[in-house]
Amino acid sequence: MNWTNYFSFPAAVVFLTLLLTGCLEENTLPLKIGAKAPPSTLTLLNGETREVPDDLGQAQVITFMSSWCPCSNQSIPLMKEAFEQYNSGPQSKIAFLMIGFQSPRSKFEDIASKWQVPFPVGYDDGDKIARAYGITAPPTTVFIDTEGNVIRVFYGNIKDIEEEFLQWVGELL
Amino acid sequence: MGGRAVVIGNINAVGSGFSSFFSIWQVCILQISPFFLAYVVGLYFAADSLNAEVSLGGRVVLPAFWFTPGFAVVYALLTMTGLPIGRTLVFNLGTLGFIAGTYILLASLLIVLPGRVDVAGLLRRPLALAVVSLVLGSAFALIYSPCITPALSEIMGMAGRPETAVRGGTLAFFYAFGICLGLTVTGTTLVFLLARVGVVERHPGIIKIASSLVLAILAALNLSGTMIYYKAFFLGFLVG
Repeated sequence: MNWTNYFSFPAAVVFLTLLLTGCLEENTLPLKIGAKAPPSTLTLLNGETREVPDDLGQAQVITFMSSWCPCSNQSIPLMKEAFEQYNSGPQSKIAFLMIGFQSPRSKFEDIASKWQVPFPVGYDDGDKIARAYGITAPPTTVFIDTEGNVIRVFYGNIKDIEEEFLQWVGELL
Repeated sequence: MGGRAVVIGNINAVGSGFSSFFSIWQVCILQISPFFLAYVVGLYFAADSLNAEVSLGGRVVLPAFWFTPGFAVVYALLTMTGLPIGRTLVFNLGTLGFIAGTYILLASLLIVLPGRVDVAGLLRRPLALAVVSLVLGSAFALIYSPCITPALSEIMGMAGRPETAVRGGTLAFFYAFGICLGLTVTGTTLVFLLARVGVVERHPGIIKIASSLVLAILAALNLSGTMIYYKAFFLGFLVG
């Protein structure tokens, strides 16, 4: 038996599955730091839809979270604190958004409800938005300026970098 | 993205991956660890029906050895979102995960079918076992969504920026290598112990079938998109 025979099995599996699924039909590259954030439409938990990023001319802090992820849960209080600090009053310039992914919808709704998140919360059905943003693991936080450009992505628990996180949010102004 | 004082090197990355396996972070690795263990246990106890030599080296360490580069390379590429290849892979993870699930399903059949189907006899040959394990490692990397440990946070931050993506990807490779080291040590120990349990030794066929079933469950979870329920169930205990 030669090398070709050994590789024929996995190669055949990959080839057939590509045929069946129509792989790589979408050629758009996802998020790149410094470039425009990839546009998507998100359904919020209250049933409304909104564009991500939105076109309100606000800077945005978007955090991708999962119900089962301890770091995601630990991050929420700091997100709420940042929201209260930077989004109160008529001159608020930073929009906050929490997106659930890699979670069952009902579990994510429970978490959003438990923490009484004061800013919009949506559910990324099928993880499509997360993938467009190049995100594979929770929690990940994306910082978008008023021009809609992604200027920073932080992977991990923002509670571990509390001061830097608040500073990065402030830099969006 | 950076800004923190944590700067890790390759050896530290291996250590971080390895230690994450034996720490509270193991709950995140539960997405793959029981299924990897099922794979090596199944291979070991399928050896009899393949007329292959029953040895820890040949049936556990060798496949784990080849599983490692498959897992680590794909994991590193997925982490390198600062480069087009990483972003493209992540963007197509839905399809790639489906391919991975299909491959894992077929791998589960290879374990249970020796003696019944000719192609399964391939696993008697070390080279075939190496190739199947290498591709299985890649499949596991495609379906693995890690919890972001502090070290991984640093690595992903580097890998997400174009100017440091290659360095970050290299560190991600070594981090994944550390995880695989944990898997190998655990798998070898488990098989070593199982092989000395009388009732297990007398019923290798049942162990083989059970291992195949566990792998098939992983495949089904990914093909059906229900892996999120598995994660929510096991990891949800941590959240409370």
